[in-house]
Amino acid sequence: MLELDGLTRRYGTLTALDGLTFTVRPGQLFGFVGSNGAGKTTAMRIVMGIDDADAGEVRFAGATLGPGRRERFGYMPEERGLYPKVPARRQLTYLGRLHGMSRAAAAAAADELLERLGLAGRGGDPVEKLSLGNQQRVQLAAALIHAPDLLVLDEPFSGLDPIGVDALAGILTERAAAGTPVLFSSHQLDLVERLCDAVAIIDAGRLVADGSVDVLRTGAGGPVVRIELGDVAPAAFDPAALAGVVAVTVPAPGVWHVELAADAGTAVEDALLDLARSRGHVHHYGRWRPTLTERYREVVAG
Amino acid sequence: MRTMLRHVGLVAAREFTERGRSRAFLISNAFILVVIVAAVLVPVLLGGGDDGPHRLGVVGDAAADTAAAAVADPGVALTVVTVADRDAAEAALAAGTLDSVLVDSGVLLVADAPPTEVRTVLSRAATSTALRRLLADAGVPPADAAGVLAPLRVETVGQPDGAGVDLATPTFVLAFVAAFLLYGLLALLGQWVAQGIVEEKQSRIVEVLLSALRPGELLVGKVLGLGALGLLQLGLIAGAALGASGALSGVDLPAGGGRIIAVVLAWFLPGYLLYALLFALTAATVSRVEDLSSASLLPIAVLVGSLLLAQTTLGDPTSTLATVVAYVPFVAPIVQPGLVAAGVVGWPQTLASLAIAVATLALLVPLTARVYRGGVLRTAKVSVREALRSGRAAR
Repeated sequence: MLELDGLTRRYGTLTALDGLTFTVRPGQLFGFVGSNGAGKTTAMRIVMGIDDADAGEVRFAGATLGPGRRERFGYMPEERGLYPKVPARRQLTYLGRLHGMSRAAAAAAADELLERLGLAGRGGDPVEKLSLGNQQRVQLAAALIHAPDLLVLDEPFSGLDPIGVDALAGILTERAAAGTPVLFSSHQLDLVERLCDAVAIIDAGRLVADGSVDVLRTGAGGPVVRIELGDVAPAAFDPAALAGVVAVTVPAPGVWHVELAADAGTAVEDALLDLARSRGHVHHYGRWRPTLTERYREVVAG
Repeated sequence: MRTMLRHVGLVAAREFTERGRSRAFLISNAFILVVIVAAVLVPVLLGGGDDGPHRLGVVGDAAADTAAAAVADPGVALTVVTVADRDAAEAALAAGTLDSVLVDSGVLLVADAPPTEVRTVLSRAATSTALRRLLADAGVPPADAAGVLAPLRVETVGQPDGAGVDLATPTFVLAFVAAFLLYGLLALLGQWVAQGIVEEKQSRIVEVLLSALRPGELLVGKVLGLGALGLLQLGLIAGAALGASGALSGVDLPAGGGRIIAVVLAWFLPGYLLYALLFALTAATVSRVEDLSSASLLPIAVLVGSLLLAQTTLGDPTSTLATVVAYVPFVAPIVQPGLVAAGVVGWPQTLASLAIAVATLALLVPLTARVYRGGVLRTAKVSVREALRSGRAAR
């Protein structure tokens, strides 16, 4: 379990992190979301011991992490980096050994990963001779080489084609299923929604929302019903007057989002449906949840 | 501790092998070796090959006297062989068993043109032998004749206590060459360290590396690995030079040469570490190889300044300046060989100066590690002060 507890980091007058706190549990695929400059990279660097927090601490498996040296963690920085002139296999072996592996074990792991990532036979090529997509795969292999206890990946999906996205998603899901906590940042919220068990949304260095994707999408209020009606004048249908209805929004002509009280029973929903049928032709009636993207816009804007 | 040693060892081994197998390194070394071997071999080969004493035949007593006078001259090495007559002499020259034959007192028979020194020495010997005989015939006593024929005596005055130094002696030439070699090696190795640091910053792999090891481990491993490679290169150069010259003629070290070489060797490691760290410190403030030359300006200036000081202090080795700079870290490695040759710096002074250098290193290592850590993740150029601030918890 990885815990970020009250992390604060200032660069001169700029506050990059402001008391950031969240937890990544074992086996969780955890999405880290926020606009550019929100503090994601700073937080990940502090977790990896590359940067220092001014206040707060990072704990892993209950123990406070000391300065530097995360031998058992795997890291993929946002700024990709490998030795351009060194063959992929040789530098993967070197990185594996830096992470405490024997030469033989590191070489075997490098071969296995290269094979798995479709780069078998390219291990002897200098990295600069590989395509960008393949360089990205080697970068991923560099993070995975020592079968780390925690994976921290900064924008791992950026720059990948759809096949590459699927391959990476498969590997991350597999690692999480094996019990490794995986923390990754991304701007592709649909991807985060599809893959992740839990999400943290940060803005200006502060946590604005976190929790499971389901809970985040549902929000704190009661259930929301989406109703689409045909052949009806907008003024003719006014569910707000109904008992048990908390709020009504009209996101598009002929579409209503009706938020019910948290304790509203099925009777309120039946009454709502009856009202709708009495006013026009019901095209759609059902529970509705915002997508993560919609929810993100809401919490970051609000 | 074990992890630290393992990390330092891994980084050092990587620097050693990657740099050692780079084409630039191999080509430059092959080039240096060829130049050294050529520098030693070419003059010998052009000089006619056989480097033994000149084999001189003599025909007649007058020739034998001249040859005896010539043998006493230190300017040339001669083996003298008595030959029966001119025919025998010509046969020996044709067969190549003799290099030249002096017939009576007037004629030098040769197959090839004799070396200039041989001709000069023989002419001088022939003249003095003839003069001595003429003086004897004229009734001048041999003691007076010796006085007439004695060479000019040279006396040096106006240099009390030997403070003025004759810089042309082999000892000083050796000291200069040693100081200059150390200067060149420190500049080369320092540039390697600086380049290695900036390349890792530019390729951004440094962020991956720093997640696994501490900045100090990366820095120390890099410095040690390249230092070992430099030592190997120094050994190769010295071995090639000594091997090539030793195999041919046998070089005699000038007086005090052993001590000068010992001082240079003693200074190699601390000198290298001082400069490598200084190069590393300034390199950590830039992030592109293009900015490297401006970043290396400071260490290069210190090196060049030290070389100039080495020259200045030899002009007056007992001056206060010379006494002070012999202890100044960064400068001492370059000025000490000359001051040792001048006899003003002994082992106690060298050891004291080495101790000061080691103390400086003890300060420089954490300082450099801190700037390195603070600057290593910056993509723009940072000032040393800024890097120090953001690298505050150097480890």
